[in-house]
Amino acid sequence: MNQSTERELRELFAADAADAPDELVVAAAAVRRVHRRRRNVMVAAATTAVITAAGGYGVYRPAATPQAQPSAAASLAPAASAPAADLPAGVTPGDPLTFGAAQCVKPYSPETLAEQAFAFDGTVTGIGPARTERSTHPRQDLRSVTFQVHTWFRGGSAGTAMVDMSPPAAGPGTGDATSEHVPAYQIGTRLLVSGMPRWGGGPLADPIAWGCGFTRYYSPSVAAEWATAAK
Amino acid sequence: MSFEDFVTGYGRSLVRLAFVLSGDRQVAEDLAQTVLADAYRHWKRVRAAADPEAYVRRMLVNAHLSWRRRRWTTERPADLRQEAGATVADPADAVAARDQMRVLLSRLAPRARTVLVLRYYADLDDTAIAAAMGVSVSSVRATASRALASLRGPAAVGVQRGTR
Repeated sequence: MNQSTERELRELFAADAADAPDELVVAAAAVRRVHRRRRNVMVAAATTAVITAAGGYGVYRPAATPQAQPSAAASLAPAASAPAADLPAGVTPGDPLTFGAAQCVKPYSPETLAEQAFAFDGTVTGIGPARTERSTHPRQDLRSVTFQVHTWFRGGSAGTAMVDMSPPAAGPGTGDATSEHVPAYQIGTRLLVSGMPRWGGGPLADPIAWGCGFTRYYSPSVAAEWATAAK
Repeated sequence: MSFEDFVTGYGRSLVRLAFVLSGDRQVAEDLAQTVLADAYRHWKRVRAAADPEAYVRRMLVNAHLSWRRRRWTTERPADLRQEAGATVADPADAVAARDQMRVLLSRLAPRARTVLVLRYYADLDDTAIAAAMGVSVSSVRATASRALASLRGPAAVGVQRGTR
């Protein structure tokens, strides 16, 4: 009985298999499906990037009503007497720090720099936990960076400033593929920093530094441009 | 080995296995297409396997059982004879015993039918079946024994409930 059942099964399955679809057609459809899915993923990723960029601009854009500006840029110390810039290896003075594509919704130029709520020349003196996060919003990987300010171009007058920034990388061009978007700075690095209040308000209310050229390694020539642009 | 080489060498047996497992042309195409697409997407991993054919066959069996499990819990064929006849053409239409066998097979739990297909169509031994299904060899033997018992006659209906 067992032998008979097994033989019947073998014959039945073999007969069924003879009517199976063409494997080359199925394989070709499988390859097309993968390619189509990859295209869709790329489109979705591009769409997400655009939406993220738009959202980033919405968060960081200047308020509709211009922020109160200081009456004049206060220079607390002559730039010439400030400590020399402590730049990471491979960095040229004046190079921009980039913070990711989401913030690159506004190209850097003297005109757009003039729209920033705050801008200063300062040296990093401390790096700690972010101070601008809110429980009602998704957390971003940020650090609060304390600066000794040498020159205020806009938005402040104190000798120190604390702004949130992306965490520092070990150095330019190091780490994984995303490290190019992470600024390389450390205590002692001299930067030209500009940005906006993260949640609106006064120039230094929850300040966050912008990337995409709006925060750069210090150079005297760029500092001079910033001083002119912020007037 | 490229994906194209793999399809040339093993594609036919995989598509046929999908068809015999599912008993439905459309489902077999979807099943084989899904598994081949997954294999193509993760081709480096498949190629690195000791036995790429066995690796993809296991993917196929897992996908089949997963699909069947979902259908098994939500639907049962109302007219098994009609369904079996409509989905798999039988060139020797007069063989009533074969039709009857299809009806009985369609009543088996997906896992039991899969064991029988792997054993009597794919000609795998119990160890290879166990590897393909991710179960123990003893489980394969027990499942096969119960499934065969359920195919042996009218009394099978009561027996086969124990195989689910």
